[in-house]
Amino acid sequence: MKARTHPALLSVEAVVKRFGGVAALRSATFAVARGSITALIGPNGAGKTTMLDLISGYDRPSSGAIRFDGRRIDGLATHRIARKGVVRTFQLTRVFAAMSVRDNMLVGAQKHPGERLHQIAFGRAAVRHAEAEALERAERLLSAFALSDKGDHYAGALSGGQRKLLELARALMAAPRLVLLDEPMAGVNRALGRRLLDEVERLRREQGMTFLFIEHDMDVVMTRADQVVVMAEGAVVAAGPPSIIRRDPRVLDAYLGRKANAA
Amino acid sequence: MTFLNLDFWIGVGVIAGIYGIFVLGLQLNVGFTGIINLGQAGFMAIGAYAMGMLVVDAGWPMALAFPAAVGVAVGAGLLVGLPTLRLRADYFGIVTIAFSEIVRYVLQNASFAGGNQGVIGYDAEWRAFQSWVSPHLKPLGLDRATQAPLLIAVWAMLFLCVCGLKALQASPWGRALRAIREDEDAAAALGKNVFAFKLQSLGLAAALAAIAGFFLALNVTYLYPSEFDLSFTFFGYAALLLGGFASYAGAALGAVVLCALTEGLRFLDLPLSSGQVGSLRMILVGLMLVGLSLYRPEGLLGNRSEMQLRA
Repeated sequence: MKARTHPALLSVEAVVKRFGGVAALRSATFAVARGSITALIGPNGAGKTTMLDLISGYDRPSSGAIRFDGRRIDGLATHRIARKGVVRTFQLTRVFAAMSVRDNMLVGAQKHPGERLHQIAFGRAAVRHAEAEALERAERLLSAFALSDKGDHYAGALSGGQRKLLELARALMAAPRLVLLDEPMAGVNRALGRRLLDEVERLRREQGMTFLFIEHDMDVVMTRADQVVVMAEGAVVAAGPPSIIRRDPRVLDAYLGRKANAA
Repeated sequence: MTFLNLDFWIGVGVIAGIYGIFVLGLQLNVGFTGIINLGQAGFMAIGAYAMGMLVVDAGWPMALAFPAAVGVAVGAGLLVGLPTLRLRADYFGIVTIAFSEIVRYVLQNASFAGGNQGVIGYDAEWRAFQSWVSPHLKPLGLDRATQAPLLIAVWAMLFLCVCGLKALQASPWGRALRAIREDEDAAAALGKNVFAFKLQSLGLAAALAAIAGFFLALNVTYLYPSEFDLSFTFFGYAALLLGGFASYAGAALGAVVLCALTEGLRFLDLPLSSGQVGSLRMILVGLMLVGLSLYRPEGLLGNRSEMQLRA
C-alpha cells in the first residue's frame, strides 16, 4: 500500500545520461503527478527525447533513479516497463506498416493467452474469449479516434496524422497507467490534433490516466497541460503550472539564451 | 529415361516435399519473424543424425527416435538462439552460418557420428513398413513404385505442417511475431518480449528442419555429412523467394516448383558431363531469381502490396 500513498506516479531523480563524452542529460529531476497531463518542453537538444527513452527503457541512465509508482524501473527491459503500465509513442510514428489497422491495435492487448504456444494448443476457449474482448476494445478505441472505417486497411497506407492517432490508440490498448507521447501534434492537422487532445483529456478525466508529452506548440502546452516541466541543456530548469511557467524568467532564458548572450 | 518415368517423378516428389517442410521453417523465421536463419541445414543434420544414432546405437524404435530427434533439434535451436538472438539480424545470420558449418565438420570428424562413413542401418523398420504398405497402393497403381509410401508420408506431413503453421500464424502469437518483424522496438514498447518470441520461432524452425531431416534420412538410406551442406539452406532460400515472402503455401509451392524444374533438366539430352549439368542447374536457378526480381518480386504467392509497405 506504500505505493498508493506515493504522491508522484513517476519520479525522475538526478538522472544523468552520457553518450561517450557528451552528457545528454546532466542531472535531471522532476515528478509527474498521478492523473496529470504534464508537458515536457525545452529547446532542441535539451534532452527531452533522451528522457523519454530512459523512462521507457530504450536506454538506461548513466546514474540516477527513475521510479514508477514508487518502484525503480531504470535498467528494466522495455517490455517489462510496458507491462508495468508505461507505454510510449514515438516522434516519428512507428506503426506496423504491413499489418492491418485492426491487427496493429490487437498487438497492444496485454496478457493475451493467445500469445502463448501452450495456450493455443490447450486453452482454445480462453484464447477465443480474450480475442473477442480485445477486438471489442479495439473497435471502441478505433471509433473514438475516427479510425473505425480503416480497420481493414494496412497501417502503412494511413496518412501521417492518422498514424499518430493509431499509435496512441494502440498504446491505449495496453491499458496503460502512464502514457508517454513524443510530439503527438507534429505533422497532425488541427482537427485531428484537437481530437487527439480531447481524447487525452477524456481518458484522464474518466480513467485517471496520466500523460507526459513532449510538445513544441506553446498554445497546446499552455491550454492543455496542467503541469509543465522545462528542460534546457540536459537539466530541468523549471517546473510548475502553465500560468507560472509562462512568466518564469528561467524559461525565457532557456528559449532565448539570454544568459548565453550576456556571457 | 523417358519423361513419364513414374519412379523418377515419385523421387522428385519426395525431394520436393522434404524441401517444402524445410523451407516452411525458413518462412517462419524470415517471412514472419524477421530473423535471418542461415543454419537450417545444421538443424536438419542434427535431427537426422539424432534419429539415426538413436536407432542404430541406442536401439530405439524409430517411432520414438523420431520425436526425440525433433526434441534434440529444438534444443539445439534454443541453444544457438540464447546467446545470439539479441544480435542484429545480419550478425545473427552470420552466426547461424558458422553454426551450420560447425555441425557439419563435427559430423565429419567425430567418431560417434561415423565420420565420412556416416550412419547406416536405421531404416529397417521403415522398409518393413514400406513393403507392408505397398500392396495396399494397388488401387492407385502405385504398388510397384517402391518410394510411393514415402511420397505419401512426406506430402501428408507437409500438408499437416502447412495447416498447423497457418493456424499459428492466424493466432495472436503469429500476430505478435509479425509485429516484431515490422518493428521490434515498437513491439517491445507494447510489452512484447521480443527475445522470447524470436527464440520460439527459431525453435519451431529447427523442429521443421528435423522433420525434413527425418524424411531425407529415409530417402537416402544412409547419412553422411556433406548432404547437410550450406547450399541446402541457400537452395531453400531460392525456393522461399520463388514461392513468396510471408506465405506458407508459397514456401511449399516454391520448393516443389524449384525441385521439379531443376530435376527436370535431366530430360534435356545435353552433351554435358554430370558436373556440368549440376552447374547448369545453378545457373538456371540464378536466372530464374533474376527474372523473378524483375517481373514478380513478390514471388508466386507473395503479397505485393505488403512487400511495398515494408520497403
